Amino acid sequence: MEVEARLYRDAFAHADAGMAVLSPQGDWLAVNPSLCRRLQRPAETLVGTRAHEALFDAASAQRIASAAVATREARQAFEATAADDGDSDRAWKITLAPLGEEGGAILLQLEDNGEARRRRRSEDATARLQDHLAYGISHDLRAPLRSIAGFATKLDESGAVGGEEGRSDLGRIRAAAARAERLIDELLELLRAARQPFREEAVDISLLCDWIAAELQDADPARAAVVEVAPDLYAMGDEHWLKSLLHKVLDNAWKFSAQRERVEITVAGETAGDRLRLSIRDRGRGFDMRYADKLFLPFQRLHGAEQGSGNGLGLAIAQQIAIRHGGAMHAHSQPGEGSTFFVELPAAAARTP
Amino acid sequence: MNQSDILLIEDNPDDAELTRIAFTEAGIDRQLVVVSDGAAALDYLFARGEYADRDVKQLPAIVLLDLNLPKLDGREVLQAIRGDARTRALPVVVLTTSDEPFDVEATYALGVNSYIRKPVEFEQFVGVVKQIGLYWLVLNQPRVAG
Repeated sequence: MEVEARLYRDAFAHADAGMAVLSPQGDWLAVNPSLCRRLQRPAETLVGTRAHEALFDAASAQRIASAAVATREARQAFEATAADDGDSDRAWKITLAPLGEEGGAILLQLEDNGEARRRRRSEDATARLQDHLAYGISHDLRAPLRSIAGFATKLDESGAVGGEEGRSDLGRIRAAAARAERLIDELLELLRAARQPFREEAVDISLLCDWIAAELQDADPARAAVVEVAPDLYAMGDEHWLKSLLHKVLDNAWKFSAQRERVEITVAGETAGDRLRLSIRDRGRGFDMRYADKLFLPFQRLHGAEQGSGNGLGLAIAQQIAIRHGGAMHAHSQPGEGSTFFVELPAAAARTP
Repeated sequence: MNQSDILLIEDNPDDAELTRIAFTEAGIDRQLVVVSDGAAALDYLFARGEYADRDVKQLPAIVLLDLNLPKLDGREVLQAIRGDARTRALPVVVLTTSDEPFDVEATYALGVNSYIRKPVEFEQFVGVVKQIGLYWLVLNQPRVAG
């Protein structure tokens, strides 16, 4: 028996896996050298403490604490990161297992999680690249466009380019510069939708839809339009971004109703649990469901420019906004009958005054 | 009415020329002084270097500042202007192509008076220049330096 116990102790000491034994109270009773090496902490700073609280992120520390109390549910594996999250990119895989009977100690095994660390590093690098790109697009891509548009106008005004054809070509140059500017604006909006922090407040979706409908009517005053919006639809989210989302969907419905005598849009919604499910239905030209998966991809268009198509970024931005709210967005259509866009968002009670 | 110059700090010669044309088209008959980097802008304002024989008390009516500049960038120029008692009260308007929230936030934090994005379409730009002229050269009552 004595020999066996010594063999177990040796196995613990020489194991390649990082191991610790925790009491039901969550105190660290023993650690092996491999664990100390992986955590870069000497044994004496760990043993006799509730080391998980200082070492790991809050959620992981909580899992370890509960597992120690109820060892029957102790067997589990999860990914943990370092406690003070800041710059540290350290990550581990932790496995918990009960030792002996219920109410006894638990064994914590720890491995380096190089995969998570690489993933985090690469995500950080991507975010930084996005920041630099957005900055560069904002500053450096607009400048040459201003020269193109500005000097084309100057040429036109100076009369240096004569004739109907020359002036028409100058008009095309200026129109192209204006299109490229809109494209830059929307590209930047897509990048911002993906990376800017969002606010969280109760937002009156019905009010926003009425407001947007009025804006669309103002921009196109001769157009006959009926926009019906169900009352009392509330979502949790960022009002600025939710308005942008709804504007893109309603604008889309408006544009693609061009072949109809009048624009007809219906906004309805229902709350199921903590979700608000909106549907925005139009009687426009619709789209072929075979291409439904392309609808929300950047730069994909299902209709030509002559049919009112934009630059293919509007719905990509709208979907990004829905996703950032923890929601989702999809669409259904029958060509000639119109389309329905479904937007799922976190629900909110009426805005508190 | 104060007939001082307008100082434009702009490194892109195309942009500088377009701004000059826009000022003419907008009917603003002040002299537009153009410098192409941040260091030259401060030399002009504090009558140093190339501008040593300028009267340092003769401040421009308004400074139009681009942000992406060689040597000292727009933020550093702004900091230097706000950091000196002689120029602390000078109206500074950022006139740039960027509308990055970061740029807007950072320059307001440094005490810019106004932030205006230059539109691509030239006629719109002339409209913007007209508004700048009307507001800063006619309507606005400047603070007295000191």
